[in-house]
Amino acid sequence: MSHKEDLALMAHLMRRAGFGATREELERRVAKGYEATVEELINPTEAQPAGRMALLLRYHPSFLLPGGVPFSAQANWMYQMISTQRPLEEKMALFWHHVFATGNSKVDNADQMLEQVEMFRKYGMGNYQTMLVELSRNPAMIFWLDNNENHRDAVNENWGRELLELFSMGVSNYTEVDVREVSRAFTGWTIAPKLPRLPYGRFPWKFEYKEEDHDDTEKSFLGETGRFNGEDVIDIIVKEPATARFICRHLYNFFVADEPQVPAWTIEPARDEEALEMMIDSFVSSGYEVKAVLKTMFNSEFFKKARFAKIKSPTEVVAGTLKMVGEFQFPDVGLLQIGKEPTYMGQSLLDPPSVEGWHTGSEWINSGSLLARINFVADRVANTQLPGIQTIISQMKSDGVRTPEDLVDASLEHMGYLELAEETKGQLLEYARKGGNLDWKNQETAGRRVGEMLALIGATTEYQFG
Amino acid sequence: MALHTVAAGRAWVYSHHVGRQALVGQGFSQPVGVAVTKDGTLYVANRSGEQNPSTRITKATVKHEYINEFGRSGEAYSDNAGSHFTWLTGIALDENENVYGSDEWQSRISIFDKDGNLLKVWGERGDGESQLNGPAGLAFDPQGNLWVSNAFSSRIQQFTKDGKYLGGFGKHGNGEGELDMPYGIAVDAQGDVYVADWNNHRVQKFNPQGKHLLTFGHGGGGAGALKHPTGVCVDNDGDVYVVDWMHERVVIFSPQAKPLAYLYGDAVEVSPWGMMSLDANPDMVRRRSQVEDLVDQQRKFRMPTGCAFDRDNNQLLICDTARGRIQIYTKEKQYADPQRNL
Repeated sequence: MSHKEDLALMAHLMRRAGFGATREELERRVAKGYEATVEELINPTEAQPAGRMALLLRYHPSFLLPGGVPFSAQANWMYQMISTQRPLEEKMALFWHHVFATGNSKVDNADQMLEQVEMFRKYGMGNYQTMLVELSRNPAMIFWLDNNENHRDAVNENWGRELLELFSMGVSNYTEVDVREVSRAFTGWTIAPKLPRLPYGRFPWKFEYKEEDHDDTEKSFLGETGRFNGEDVIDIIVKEPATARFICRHLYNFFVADEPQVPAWTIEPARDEEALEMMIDSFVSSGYEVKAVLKTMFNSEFFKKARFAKIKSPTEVVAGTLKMVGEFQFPDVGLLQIGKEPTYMGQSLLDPPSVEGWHTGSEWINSGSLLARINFVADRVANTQLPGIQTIISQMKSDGVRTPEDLVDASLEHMGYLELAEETKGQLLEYARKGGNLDWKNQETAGRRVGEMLALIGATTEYQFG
Repeated sequence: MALHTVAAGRAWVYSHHVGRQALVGQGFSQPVGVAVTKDGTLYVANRSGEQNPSTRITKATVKHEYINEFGRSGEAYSDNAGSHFTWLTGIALDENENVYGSDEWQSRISIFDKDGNLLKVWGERGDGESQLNGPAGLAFDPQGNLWVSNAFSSRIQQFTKDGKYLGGFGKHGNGEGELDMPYGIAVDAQGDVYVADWNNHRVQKFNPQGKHLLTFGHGGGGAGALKHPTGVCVDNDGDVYVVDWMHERVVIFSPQAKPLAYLYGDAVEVSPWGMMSLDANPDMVRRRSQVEDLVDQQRKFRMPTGCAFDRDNNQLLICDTARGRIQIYTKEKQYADPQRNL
């Protein structure tokens, strides 16, 4: 494999397992090797930059305990995405937010949403069974799906139903009786009353198990019978073949290639059944370890061949662009706005449209969201004052980029080794040729032309894929 | 619960707190700095945030009287009039009760009279010896000159009160006498300068010429451990108070830098302004009544930032930033701790 091909493959890995990488980072990772990089992403040893969160809260103290409106919390998370040294850990938090979709529209405590994201960071690459138990105890989730209203003598089925339908097995793998029995098993799993927001701001929720409100009688669930509590039910759920398939299909859809929307999974076959089976094998044989599936997936040929087989989510567009241009590595004024950008493209972080989460793939694109994506990218990559763009310009100069053909090729490399249709590339070349060769004696003009070319690439159909 | 925190020969007795969370009027929004006059007038620097910008200086009293507010953030951050703050951080009073506020983003100092009228704005951004770069802490020395700590240039400077540069010291690093993103600053009665060396997890004491004299605290564990200290102030006896931001406490050191005691917050009561919120929202009262450990949760500092010591009234004031209030302690020397076997 050529060095350029190695870099292109690494760029693919870093887009999917993180939020992209600069050329310098790609070179460093290629020198280390592909599989070694996968290993490092799965078992991150790199500490977060010292004082990273301290810096954020020193300059934006209001981002600590955001309340009913999620903007500060969205900015808090976006800052963490673009400054993390543990990219897969952060990407997995985003993955679980897609699957275990919880919304501040109801929770109304964005600080508790951030606490849930922190839980995803902590358990996101660990054992799925452990994750489900933590999810069941998570205060934001308990309130979101009404388990605080699920009592021994007045069962509320919301959490029990979604646990089966959207968080583990998927529809048509259980009965209404199973929903009822799961819900009974989780009676008494609630949240303690917390100090209200007036007069001193937000206080945290705490999980509380109320034994006196738990239905301790016998339950029958998926063919097993016993005096099940929540953990017992989760033990049964994770062993169900449908669960492994459902979670692995989610992982495939998020990391490899776009699948149909979740509600269609009972009628639409998997995009790559063989790949899915490989992932399921890893998941089950490892005892439901998420890390094991990730390792199998990232090192597989099906993953390596899936370059640009996914439409980037709005969060990926924003975080990837900001990483590329080097903006907001320090929590500057204006950070709040950055947290809102994915919303303009159809993904309001911490506020999904429903418990089903976002529909992905082609549903990210409509005339409004496409324009928002293109404008966001173009505004930044054409800004030659931004540190990441200055680095790209310097690299092109030192690489001897001169002709229009050089300019297009080098720009495509810096935009993630993007592959364009012949027609699109031809149009870019046509535009580049109008300016002739780059004249590095006039660095400002040359730099401006680089920025323009990057912005044009950002407006292509191909750039919407990651 | 503490309420009375005792060390050899002195005690800090919790008095009360002023404030509640509010974007305007009787309350504070992320208060990060406080200054106080001998008659108990408070000037509180409200940092606020980008979501509901309510950056301002609130004038009130320690007896819960709201007087006015000024320096409110503008509609746009491009405001350059000087009366509006972006990253309001430090606050200090001169002998005429003029109010000085530092803006870490704009790198400038704004001066108001005690009624909130803008008098002057000064400061030029840069790393030159007389330039400001992220001015954070402000403190006046006994001669009436203003000391400024600069976060981004790691420099400590002395100016006349109208902005004429007199001298300075400091460079970036973690060695003795070096600084990394300094935050709060204080000057004692002898004119020695104390700097919260935020990113080095310590406070350093310098003489006015910049000679390093003493270091308080450290970034490790155990007694005197600090994590990103923000505020510092000194009392009449030379005891030094350090707001240990990320440990959410105040560490009290002896003049010789020996750790003496720790405050974790004691706001057991609801302030009069807080009661106004509760009186208007009966659901909040009902919900509060169901919280088992209400007092223990309510009393604690949450990311406290700035502090001030009122040397006329022997009172310590702590900005309890995320709770929108100022907690006040009285230092007593005649305090007798009750027997343990009562």
